[in-house]
Amino acid sequence: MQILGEPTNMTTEEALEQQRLMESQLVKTLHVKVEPDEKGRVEPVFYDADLHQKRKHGKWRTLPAPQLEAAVADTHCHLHMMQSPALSLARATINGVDFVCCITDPTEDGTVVFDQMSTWQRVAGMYVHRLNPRC
Amino acid sequence: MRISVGVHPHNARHFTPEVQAHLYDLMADPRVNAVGEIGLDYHYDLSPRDVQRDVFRTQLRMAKEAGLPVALHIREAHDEALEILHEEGFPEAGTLLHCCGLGPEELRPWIDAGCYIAYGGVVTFTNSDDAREGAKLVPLDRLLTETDAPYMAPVPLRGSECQPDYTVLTAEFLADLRGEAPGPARESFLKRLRANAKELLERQPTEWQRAHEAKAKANRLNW
Repeated sequence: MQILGEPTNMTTEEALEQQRLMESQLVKTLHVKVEPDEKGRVEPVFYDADLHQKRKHGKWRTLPAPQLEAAVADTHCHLHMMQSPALSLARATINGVDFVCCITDPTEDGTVVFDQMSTWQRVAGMYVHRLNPRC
Repeated sequence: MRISVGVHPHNARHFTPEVQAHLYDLMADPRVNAVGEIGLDYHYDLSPRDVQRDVFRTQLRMAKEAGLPVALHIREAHDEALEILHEEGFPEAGTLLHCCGLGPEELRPWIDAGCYIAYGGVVTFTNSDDAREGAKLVPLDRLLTETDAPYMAPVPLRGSECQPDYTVLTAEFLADLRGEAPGPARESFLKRLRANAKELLERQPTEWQRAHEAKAKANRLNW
């Protein structure tokens, strides 16, 4: 098992947990759009590949993702601003988005996308197997 | 996964010679597929308009020098942006108009110039009739999907953090809008959109990128 390119004796669960901790620390250093609702609640991170529709009073409804006949491309996203970039990539893979183009501005983002991209991809692979063993 | 890098019009006032040098280094990374998002934003005016125009021109020239396409962010400045593009010359590698919400009349000159037009969640919003009419006109080989995640989540998920996988909702919406029924017709439609993205954004590194990659890597170590 490797994480961040370094060999480790961690299990997959331990590696994922460490990545979650790292991601939450990274979020704090970036300008991330995490806005609390009217009662001060922050949007939860759903560790699954379902679609989640925001409802009133902090509730969420789960919706099925459309099953399309071919893969699609997201030609413009800001992956580094997601609450969990690796999880977002994994969800994209599972739900039929096989290309993601991340847009970054060095005056605002530094080099985080360049530095973290391979880690996000590696951890996304772990999430894919966790969330959808058929992949 | 690829990367597009550029100084957003909001941040044009921060574009210094040092930033430009750093941007050149980042552009040389073989994962970079375009210079973007660049352009003009006269809605928020977070940078002075003359500075936005200058920085837009500079980055267009940089993209052309590097053989890379450009991804444009244009808001309430489409006529002026077109003027600049005609003066500077559209990059041969391609021009992508991101987050398009234009109606047919405003969109026509961009279509005539051969631009790729990308649609995200905006096209699904209730008050986006103009955008929907425009989306019907884009030639099939110039149509793209996007999300602009974490912003602009499409209906019915509007108001939540947008995710890259929400592209499937927009793709489904566009297929329906253009009369592509589920099954073989929609499959063909979606494959064409995917091929468009591949043609524009998944190319091999350019000659310029190959020539500058090693030096750029060395420079980045000093940042």
